[in-house]
Amino acid sequence: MAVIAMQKVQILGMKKDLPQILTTLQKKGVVQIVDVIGTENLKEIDPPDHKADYDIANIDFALTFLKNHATKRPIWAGKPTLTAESALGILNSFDYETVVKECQELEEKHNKNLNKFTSLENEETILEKWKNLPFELSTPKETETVRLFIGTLPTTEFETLRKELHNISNLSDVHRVSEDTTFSLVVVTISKNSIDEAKLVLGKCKFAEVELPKHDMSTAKRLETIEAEKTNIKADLEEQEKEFIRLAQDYENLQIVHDIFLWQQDEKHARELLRGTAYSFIITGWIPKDEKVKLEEALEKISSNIAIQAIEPEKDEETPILLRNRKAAWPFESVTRLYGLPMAHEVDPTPFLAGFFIVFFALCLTDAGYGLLLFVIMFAALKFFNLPHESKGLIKLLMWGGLVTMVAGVLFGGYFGLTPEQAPGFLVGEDGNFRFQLINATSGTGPLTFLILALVFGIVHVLFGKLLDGFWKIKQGQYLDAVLDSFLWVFFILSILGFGLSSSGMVIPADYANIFKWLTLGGVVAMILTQGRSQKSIIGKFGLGVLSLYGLVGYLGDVLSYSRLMALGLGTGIIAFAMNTIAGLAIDMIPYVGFIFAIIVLILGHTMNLVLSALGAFIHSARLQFVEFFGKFMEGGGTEFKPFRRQCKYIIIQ
Amino acid sequence: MFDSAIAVAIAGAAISVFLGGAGSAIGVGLAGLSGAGVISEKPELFGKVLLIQALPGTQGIYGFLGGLLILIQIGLLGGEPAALSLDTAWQLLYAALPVAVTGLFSGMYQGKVAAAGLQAVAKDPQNVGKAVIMAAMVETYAVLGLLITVLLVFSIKI
Repeated sequence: MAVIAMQKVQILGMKKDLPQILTTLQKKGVVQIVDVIGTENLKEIDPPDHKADYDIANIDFALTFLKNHATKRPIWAGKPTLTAESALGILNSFDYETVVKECQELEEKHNKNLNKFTSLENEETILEKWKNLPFELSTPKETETVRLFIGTLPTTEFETLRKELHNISNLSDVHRVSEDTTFSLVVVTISKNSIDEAKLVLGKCKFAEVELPKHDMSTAKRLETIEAEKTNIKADLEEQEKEFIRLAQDYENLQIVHDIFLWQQDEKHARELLRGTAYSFIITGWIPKDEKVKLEEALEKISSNIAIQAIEPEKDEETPILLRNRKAAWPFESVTRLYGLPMAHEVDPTPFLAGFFIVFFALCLTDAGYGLLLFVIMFAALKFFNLPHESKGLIKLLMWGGLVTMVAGVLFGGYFGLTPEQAPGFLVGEDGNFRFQLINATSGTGPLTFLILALVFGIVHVLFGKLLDGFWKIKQGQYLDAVLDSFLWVFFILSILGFGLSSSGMVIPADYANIFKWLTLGGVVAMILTQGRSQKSIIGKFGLGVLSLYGLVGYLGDVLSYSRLMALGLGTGIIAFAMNTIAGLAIDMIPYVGFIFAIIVLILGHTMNLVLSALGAFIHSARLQFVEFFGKFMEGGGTEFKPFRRQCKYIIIQ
Repeated sequence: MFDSAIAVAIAGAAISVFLGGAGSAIGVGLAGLSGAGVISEKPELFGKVLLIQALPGTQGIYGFLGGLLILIQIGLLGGEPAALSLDTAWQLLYAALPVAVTGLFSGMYQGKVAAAGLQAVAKDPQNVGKAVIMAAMVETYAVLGLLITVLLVFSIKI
């Protein structure tokens, strides 16, 4: 339960064993391979070919191509899950190259058909209008004496055109093929003798020539053949649809093979980091200290000519960070990761934030009904959905969050925002209040009690962070810093709190006020004397010491920030109450069918409230960890440990 | 006198709802503009984009909550309106101001932070958690506004 200690190692061996060693390393997934440093005289290992890249690109194409035809896996089934052995077996038995090739051919054919179909449809729309054209489509547009114009003009201009052309030459003819209120389609025949004048008239009448497709048949006949061709293509497309479905049966196999090539690609990238001589090689990498022996044993089985030796990291080289937590705290790593990883010398905050996080989450909801819902939904998701390991953390977190929310809801009397009068009898005690209710957050002094509770949690959380800082410093051997920067602050804040409480006679009897006063004054003096110790000059030491007292304002701000717990907790309950009120109004105001509206309002309203409130609860509990808590003892910024392993995109390896 | 008291209290509820709502509308709108740009490039990020776009929406809910509490306190929601004095009504109106004004401004600025955060998510979807938290920093002040409004409305004797 901590940041795992890492060891930088060198693996030395013979080149002939390299493929087997890389396979073992990838299978174990415990070594992060990094650049070999300080070996200018060593050569790069021959880089393998780019077949994996090529295969991945091809399979990606096939996967996208077949996506819409693959049988959808039901949502609870998640990704295909299998063992590495059976995945490798599929790679050997499954002829993915043929499938990819067939996909490429099918795509070409399919696109050709689709394009043909579209162009036929376009032709059809044009010819549809020229159905009554009195001659074949391929009729030449001019002879020695005559020129033919085929085109459109505004219907209003038609008579003008006919008259004026007739005036020019009585050998001209205007034939109307069809018309509607705006445009007429016409065929104009003009003697070449008067063609220039005729062209002017055509221009005046806004005639636009149209280019018709050339065919040795009449328009009507061509339309028939188009219809026939379309039917053919449709049959073809249907045939290809079957082909699609047939190929899509291999969709899952393609996914599996894709991921295996992904491993090979990773192996290629890993090889690029290696160095070697003609016969030997060096791998440099990071390994968790406790995995080293196991890896040694595994590698010894391959060959006796392999050595793993621990080496010193370079100056300023960052140690990669691996967090490992016990089962109960593990889900909370998702909160830590949201912020970023701690540095190698810092403490893993996960186990320490877990309890606080879940209590804060619950306080932001404080509704037993919502808690139960959340718990049941997340429990069902875990039980019935095949989820990848990484997403399980968040789901588990929300599940336990739901459980604690239930407890908080019972203590605060929150049940879907119901008032005791509306709630079912078994929840309500004899005095008309909810059973087990300790605080009623919406009446009397309840809100204030809730607020004080939130602030007390804040004080505990902040001081805990400071104590954690102290103990971690002691562990690192920084005794002076631990006492002066951490414990002194805790002492100082506690004595101020004690002085405040005792002098106003709350919680602590007033008799103690005097003691706390001296403790506080002692704290002030100690702060002034010690907090500026890093400064060189006396004035600097003293000045910084006085200035450090200003840090109290920061702590005050930190603690007040926890008041959000109360605001969010109240908010959830009041919105739930509002939804119930609106549903009640629906029943009162709409005759007969009001209850239908009421049910809709209740379902939608409570779902929305649960989703938004849970999101808010998560975000704000996380923020309290990151800003108010982490700030006391860690900076973060560690880089993640990314071992060379079998990582998958589409499948889950057991 | 009695009627104008109710009117003043309603004005308080209205201010709370509409300033909070306006802040959220502006904020969600800003984030939405940025989000639409992100999903035009990477439609697969829709879920994450929607999450961040929804963040500046809480101020509207807080404002709604403030308004609703006032309506409940003066008995306008189902049942008889309380016999309200003009003084109490003004108290309720002033009590609505914290959530209303903090909601307006924090909604607007949270929208801007969310919009910028979406750009970070577009570059690397892993940034979504950090973008959410940064936007939530702005929301703090609306939460504090809500806190004071709720405490005030509860403590005003009707």
